[in-house]
Amino acid sequence: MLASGVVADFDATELLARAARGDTAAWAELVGRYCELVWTVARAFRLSAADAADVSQATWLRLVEHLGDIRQGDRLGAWLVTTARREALGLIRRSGRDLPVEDTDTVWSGSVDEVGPEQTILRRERDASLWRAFRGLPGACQRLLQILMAEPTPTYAEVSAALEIPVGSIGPTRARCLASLRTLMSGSTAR
Amino acid sequence: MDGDPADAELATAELATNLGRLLRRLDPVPGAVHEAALAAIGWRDPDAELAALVGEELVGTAGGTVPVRGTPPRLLTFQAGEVVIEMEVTEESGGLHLVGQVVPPAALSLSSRGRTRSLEADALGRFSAAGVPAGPVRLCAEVRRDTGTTRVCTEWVVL
Repeated sequence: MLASGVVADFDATELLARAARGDTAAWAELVGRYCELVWTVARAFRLSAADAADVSQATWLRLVEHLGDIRQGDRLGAWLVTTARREALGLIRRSGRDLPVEDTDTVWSGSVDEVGPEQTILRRERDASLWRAFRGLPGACQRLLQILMAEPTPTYAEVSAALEIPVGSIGPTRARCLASLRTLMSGSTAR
Repeated sequence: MDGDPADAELATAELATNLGRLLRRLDPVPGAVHEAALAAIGWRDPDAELAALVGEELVGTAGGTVPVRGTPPRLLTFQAGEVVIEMEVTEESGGLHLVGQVVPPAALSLSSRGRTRSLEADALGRFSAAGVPAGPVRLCAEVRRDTGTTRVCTEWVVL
């Protein structure tokens, strides 16, 4: 019955209503659709894996708390990323950490479990230079591109809510950031 | 190298695709995060009243200065109507220590990391819980009213 392909049959409004009535299959579909985006927003704020896990879980628990109230499916994505953003900023504020600093080039949050797999994956030269180039971008570009790369691709409304940037700025900024990335790449790789 | 705008566009699109693949490979959603999100629906409590977080403060040390290391204790206040739940959160070596009070006094339970445990409270509704793991936490109180018992749960907070 489902069309082969992506999100044509995803009806968030219906799923929310069903989940509010205790339908765990409906809930699983909602989680399946947005889990990666919520995680990516938390990680875009440079939280460690443990902190991002807490932010993710707090976001989903918040949705559970408000299941009766949130009825418009087309607002769900923006609601989730706004909640994730709020939880991430709250966590950063309470821990006394500064917000992500533009010129930081530390390993993603610096926790031990992220160094190993990264080194394995980056054995390939091309990936290594792409990663270095990406990390050489301004923090705002990294956050924007990272969130845009979540699957399924977020809407511009969702990206706007996650980063508190105007919807109209997203397309041009994306293009600019990718152009910068291309420049960094062509500077570092010999053809 | 390429003066043709179409080439540039193609190269950019390819770069974006490669970057997306790399980011998703470097940082996939951990299975445990996905599992926990699926399990979140199990915490749905449609009959419980939600006690919203109405106040949050950092508590200074006895000397009046905030310690340099670690996080100072936090005082959280939740409210649902006449029910108020206060809790002070302190970091200790074995986990978080929660000390607080529920007014009016009521039977309490604490939920965190997928588990719920009941808390002992004295006649004034004061309670203490040690070794609480960091992460989302909530307290629920069984409040006795003339009409019966009402369940009041704080909103989830990340400690």
